[in-house]
Amino acid sequence: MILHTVKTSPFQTLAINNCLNLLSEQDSLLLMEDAVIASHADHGHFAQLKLLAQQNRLFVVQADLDARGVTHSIGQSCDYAQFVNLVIQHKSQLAW
Amino acid sequence: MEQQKVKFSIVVSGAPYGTQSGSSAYQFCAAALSAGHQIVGVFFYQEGVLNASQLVSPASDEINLPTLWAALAGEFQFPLEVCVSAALRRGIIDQQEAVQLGLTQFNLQAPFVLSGLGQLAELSANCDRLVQF
Repeated sequence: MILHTVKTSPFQTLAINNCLNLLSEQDSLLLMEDAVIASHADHGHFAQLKLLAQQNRLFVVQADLDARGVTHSIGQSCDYAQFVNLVIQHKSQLAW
Repeated sequence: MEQQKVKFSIVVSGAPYGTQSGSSAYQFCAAALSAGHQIVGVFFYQEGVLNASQLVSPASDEINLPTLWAALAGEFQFPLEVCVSAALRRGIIDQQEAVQLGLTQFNLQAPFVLSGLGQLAELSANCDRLVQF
């Protein structure tokens, strides 16, 4: 039960791609920093992210959306207090 | 577990400018502390060692991350460990190293301290959750 955190845009690195390849069924994904763009509109991995969102396993840092003037169309937005709780709820964190 | 006091150790591997790593880590620590949790320590690794420079001098209306880290660590009494080999390569030097290397200057911001990967192992062993930024 891992909380994967990705901080780079899917248009910039393969982090989201690589993370999705290793994500197991109990794991969740938190998009932060430049990765929040992945929650906005369609791209190569959007369908996979949407599926995660439907299973309540996709989270997006609200402060990073705000800083970039981006809105999320999938996933649950979270503040840093909720980010802390997500880390506690999972057994470990894996930074991509 | 959510209601309990949880012990966090933090790894920062990005520079204060050009990446958001230090800023994200700082906000995470502040949120964890205000929820009543504990930060066992923060380990600055790779480019993250640049967060420990006393010479970082942003414009006066901008935040100064090294100063913010120093204040948070002082208030909540947790160590700010800086990887010594990553630091020396990038020109982050404490007084003792300056003397040993025959340098006239040092620039490590107190209470940051130079330490090694053994310290990271210890931080990792002594916490409930290790979080990397």
